[in-house]
Amino acid sequence: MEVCGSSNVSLREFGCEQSLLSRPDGSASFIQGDTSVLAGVYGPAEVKVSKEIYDRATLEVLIQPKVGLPSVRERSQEQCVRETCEASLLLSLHPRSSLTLILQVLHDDGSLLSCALNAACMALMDAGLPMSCLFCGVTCAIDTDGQIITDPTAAQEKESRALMTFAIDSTEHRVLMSSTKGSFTVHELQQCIAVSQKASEKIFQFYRDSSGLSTIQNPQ
Amino acid sequence: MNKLIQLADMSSSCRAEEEPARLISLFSLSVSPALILLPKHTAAKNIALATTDWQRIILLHTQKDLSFLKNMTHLFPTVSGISCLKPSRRKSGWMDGRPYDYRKIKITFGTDYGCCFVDLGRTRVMAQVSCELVAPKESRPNEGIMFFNIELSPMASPAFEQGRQSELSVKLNRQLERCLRNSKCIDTESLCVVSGEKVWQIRVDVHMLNHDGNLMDAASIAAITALCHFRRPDVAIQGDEVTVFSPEERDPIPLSIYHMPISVSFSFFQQGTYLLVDPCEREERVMDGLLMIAMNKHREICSIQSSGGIMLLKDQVMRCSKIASVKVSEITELIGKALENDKKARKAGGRCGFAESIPQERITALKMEESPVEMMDVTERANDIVQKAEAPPQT
Repeated sequence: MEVCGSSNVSLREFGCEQSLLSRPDGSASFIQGDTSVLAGVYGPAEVKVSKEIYDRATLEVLIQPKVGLPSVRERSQEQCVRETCEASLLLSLHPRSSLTLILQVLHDDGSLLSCALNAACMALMDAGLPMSCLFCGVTCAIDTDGQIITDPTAAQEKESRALMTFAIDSTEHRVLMSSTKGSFTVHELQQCIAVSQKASEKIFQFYRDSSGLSTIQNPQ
Repeated sequence: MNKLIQLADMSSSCRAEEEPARLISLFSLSVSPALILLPKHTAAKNIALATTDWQRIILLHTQKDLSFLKNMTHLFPTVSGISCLKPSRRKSGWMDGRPYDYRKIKITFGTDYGCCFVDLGRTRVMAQVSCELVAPKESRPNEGIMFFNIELSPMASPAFEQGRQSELSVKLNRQLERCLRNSKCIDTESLCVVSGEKVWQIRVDVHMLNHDGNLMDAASIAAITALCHFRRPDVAIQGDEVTVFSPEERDPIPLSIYHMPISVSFSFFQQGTYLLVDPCEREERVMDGLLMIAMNKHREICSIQSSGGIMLLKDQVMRCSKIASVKVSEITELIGKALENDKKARKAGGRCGFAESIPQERITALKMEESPVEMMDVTERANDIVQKAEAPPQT
């Protein structure tokens, strides 16, 4: 088992603001360093008959890039976010309803997908939608020397050999979703998962602090 | 099964004399029309009436005489004593208690040049300017190209759908183009690099983030501020060679802007009797017509558009243009101040990202410093993952 160097595993400066938009039922803005994503949630609301599911809510995720129209890249990111949300939301509590999650990219300086996941989770919390667990996104990059970098900036992402984003759940720290790019060994993947699980603990503590729920202990 | 629902006055959260009562909850009755009345004793002279009609809730303004209700009492047997309210000419009489003034405008900038956020009351809009080298139009080989795109994001309102070019979206796009492109506020000839081959295409994307009325004004302020804030890469031409410098090599240069057209919207009620500047979303829903005047601080009208089919007298239009010139000079001053502050902050070398723009004192916002992740037991964890994992099935 290769041991990765433990030098620059750190998370950038975080910031979060909830309930900042008046129209959506829930909204949140999440900032990691210079990367910033704004999320808005509408729901449960009326659903088109063509899209309704008889026993669950229909979740729709839209990612709007800053410049230009949404393209295939946004579609694949939407799929990742949607699968994560569907795994953690209690959709069966709102059958034949629609939940719409809109993510607007405000600035992209690396780790965009994990910032979007974090913003999505905070917006769903702000909307008060029932969830079985919270989730967070962590991005790891493996640079050319084999070092693992968490929460990379855009410059670090460009230089990296592999880029991985994991969505981790809050109860058992399991991986809900993974999206990878580049080539890496199986050992490196396991190392990155372990690192992401450690980093997710910090992010969940941040969620608890920002919701004012710091007295609730993490069930272990 | 007609029902009368009386809603409690929310004046505990508002100042009793000025703010009208607000609707705290509306019950959608799919059975039959119902009348929702706010209590007579509210101090505000403007009261909103809402009726449910199978699926929609229609908000009516009581500037109209309420005597029509007397004819409807047979539908509402439990309603008694509806008093007729005369339309109020109180200055601060509108739904949110504003005088004929703009709501609070806040302008902030993002990390990179050309990104601007505008808050007009609760309406929130983001504009981003970007540039690209393209071939010019054949009819104008010496001029750069300006491209405007207003996105009505589904985040702004549940009525906006992704991908559908609604009427409102077409109208806003056209108005913004007329306001900024046809008024020639940007010097497009300075955007030419090689005549007939390469020119700069400046693209302005405006995203609506929250719709609380008056999207046009917010979009025009955001677009022109973002254009003033934007810096394009420097270009050097030596004979046949064109070199585009990155921002690290040479400082990017701003666009040359002649003047700043800003649009001011007026909404009319009761066939032009009542006028309101900067309507909020509820007011927009009940207005009769809208007049949009785009003007710059030199009192030149860049674009004027009237919609909704109201007939306006000449002196009404003149009065509106006078109000517009006052508002435009105030807004231009505000934009100038915001650009100055941003310039100072960038020169001082401070980080001007979003992390700094999060308000510190709000309960809904939180920040966390850059922090290391403990890596002590990562090796054990990684080992754990391997040992506890089930072997993949033999295929």
